[in-house]
Amino acid sequence: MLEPKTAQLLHVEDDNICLMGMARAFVAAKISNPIVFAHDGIEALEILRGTNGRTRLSHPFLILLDLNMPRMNGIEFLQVIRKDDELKKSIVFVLTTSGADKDKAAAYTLGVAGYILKTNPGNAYLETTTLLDTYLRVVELPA
Amino acid sequence: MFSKEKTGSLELTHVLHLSEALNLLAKGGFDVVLLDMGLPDEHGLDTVRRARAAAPTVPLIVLTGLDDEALAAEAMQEGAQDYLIKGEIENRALPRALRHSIERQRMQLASDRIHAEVQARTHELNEANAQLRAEIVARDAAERELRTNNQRLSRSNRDLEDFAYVASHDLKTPLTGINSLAEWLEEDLRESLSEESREILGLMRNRINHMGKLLDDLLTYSRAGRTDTEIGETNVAASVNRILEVLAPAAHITVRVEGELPTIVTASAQLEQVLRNLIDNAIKHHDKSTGEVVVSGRRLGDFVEFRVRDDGPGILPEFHDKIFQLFQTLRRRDELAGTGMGLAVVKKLVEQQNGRIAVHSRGDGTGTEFRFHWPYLSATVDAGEPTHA
Repeated sequence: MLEPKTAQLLHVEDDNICLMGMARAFVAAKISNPIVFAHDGIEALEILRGTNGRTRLSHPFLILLDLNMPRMNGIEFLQVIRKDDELKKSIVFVLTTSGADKDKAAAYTLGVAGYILKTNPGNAYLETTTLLDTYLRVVELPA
Repeated sequence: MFSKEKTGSLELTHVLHLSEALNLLAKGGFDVVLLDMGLPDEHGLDTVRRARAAAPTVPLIVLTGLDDEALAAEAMQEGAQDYLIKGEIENRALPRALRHSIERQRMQLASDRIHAEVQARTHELNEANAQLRAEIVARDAAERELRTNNQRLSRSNRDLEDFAYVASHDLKTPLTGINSLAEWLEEDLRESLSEESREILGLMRNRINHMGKLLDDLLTYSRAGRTDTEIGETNVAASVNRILEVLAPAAHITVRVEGELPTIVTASAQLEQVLRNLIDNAIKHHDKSTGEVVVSGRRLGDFVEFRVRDDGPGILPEFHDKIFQLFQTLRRRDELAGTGMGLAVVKKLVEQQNGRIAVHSRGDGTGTEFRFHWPYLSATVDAGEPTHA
C-alpha cells in the first residue's frame, strides 16, 4: 500500500471502433494505465458501484465519457454521479462528436474537467491520449 | 267638319269607315288619329280597341258626343290619349290639341325607349356583376389552393433539408469508423502488405475522404437554409482578405480587388461564403502557368453587384445551367477535389437573399465571370472617410 496505485481509465463509449482507437493510441504511446470499457451510462454506473455482478472499479480512476449513447447518455450519467456521494468527486473528460453549444454548457455545468471534440478521430485519439497521459502524471486524482 | 284642308303643318287624311282607317294605319305614316266613336262599320269602345290594335304607337284622340263624357273616360282607359267633344271644338284649338298629342306621344316613346335602354343596361350590369362575383369566388379558390400548395412545398423543402442534415450527419459516424479501420489495417500490415494491396488501401482511403467531403458539403448545403441569418455591418474588403488567408492561393495565381469594395449591412457570413466559393472555384480550376482572379463590387440601388472574374479555361455555354446544380461537376470523379457542391451552395445563398447570379463565359480559354446581385440594408460611410470609433 506504500506504492501509489496506477490510475485506471474508464472509457464510456457505445462505438467499439472508438474504444479500439483509444486502446490503440494508449498502446502506441506506451501508456500502461489499464482501460476499462463501458458501452453506456448504466454499464458505467454498474462498474463504478460494483453492481450487476461487475467488479467495482477501485480508486484512483478517471472517466472518459461519450455523450450520445443508448439507455443512459453522457449528460444523464453526469447528473447521476454528481448526486451520488461516493461518485460526485470523479474526474470526467468528455470525448464526443457533438459540437453543440447546448452539450458543452451542460457538460461543464456538471463539472467536467474538459470537453474534447472528435473532429478528426485519428488526431483526437492521439491528442486525447497525450493529454490524459500528462494529466495522469501531473494531477493528483481523488482517492 | 274640316274637309280636306291644310292647317299649318298638319296634313289631314279623312276617311268615313273604320275599315278604311285600319288599312291606312297598317301602312303607317300617321302621327295622330282623330277617331269618331260612332262610325258606320263600328261603334263605341270597340272602335278605340281596334284602332289601338292597328297602330299601338300612334296617339289616338276620340271624338264623342256632348253626353258621352263617361264613354270618353272609358276610351282613355282603352288607350286613347285625349278626347274632344263634338260641338265644343274651336277651329284653332283642334290643331293645337293634335300637335300636343303628337308631341306627348313622341315624348312618351322617347321615355319608353330610355326606360327600355335603362332596363337593358341594368340587366347587362347585373350580368356583369354576377360574372365578377363568380370570378372572385374562383380566384379565392385558386388563391386558397396556391396557399395550400405553397405550404406543402415549403414543408417538403424543410423535410428535405432536415433529411439532408440528418443523413449527412449520421452517415459520417460509420464513415469515420471505416476510415479508422482502414488506417489501422494499413498500420498493422505495414511490413507484410504487397505493393498492390497498399495501393488498394490507398484508393479506399481516397474514396473515404471524398465521401467525407461530400457529406461535409451536403451538411453545408443543408445548413445554408437552416442557420439563422445574422445581419451586420460587413466590410467586404476585410472578408476577401480573410478568404485569401484561408484559401492561400499558389504563387502563380494573383487575386486582386478592382476598385473599392463597399462596407454594407447584410448577412455577412452568407456573403463571405458565396465569395469564398467563387474565388476558390476560380483558383481551383485554373489551368495556366499564371492566372489572375479579379474581385469587384459596386452599389446599384439597393443591392451590390459583385463580380468574380478569372482568366482560366472558362465554361462552355451549354454547361452554364448545369454548374449550379447539386453534385454537378464537369470533371471526372477522381480528377479533382471538388464535390460539385460549391456553386449549388452559392446559388442557394444568393437566392435566399432574393439576389440573382449569372455566369458569363465562352468556354474558349478566355476566362469566366460570375456576377451576382446581393441586397443590403444600408451602406455605412464609404471607404476613405474616417470611421468613428
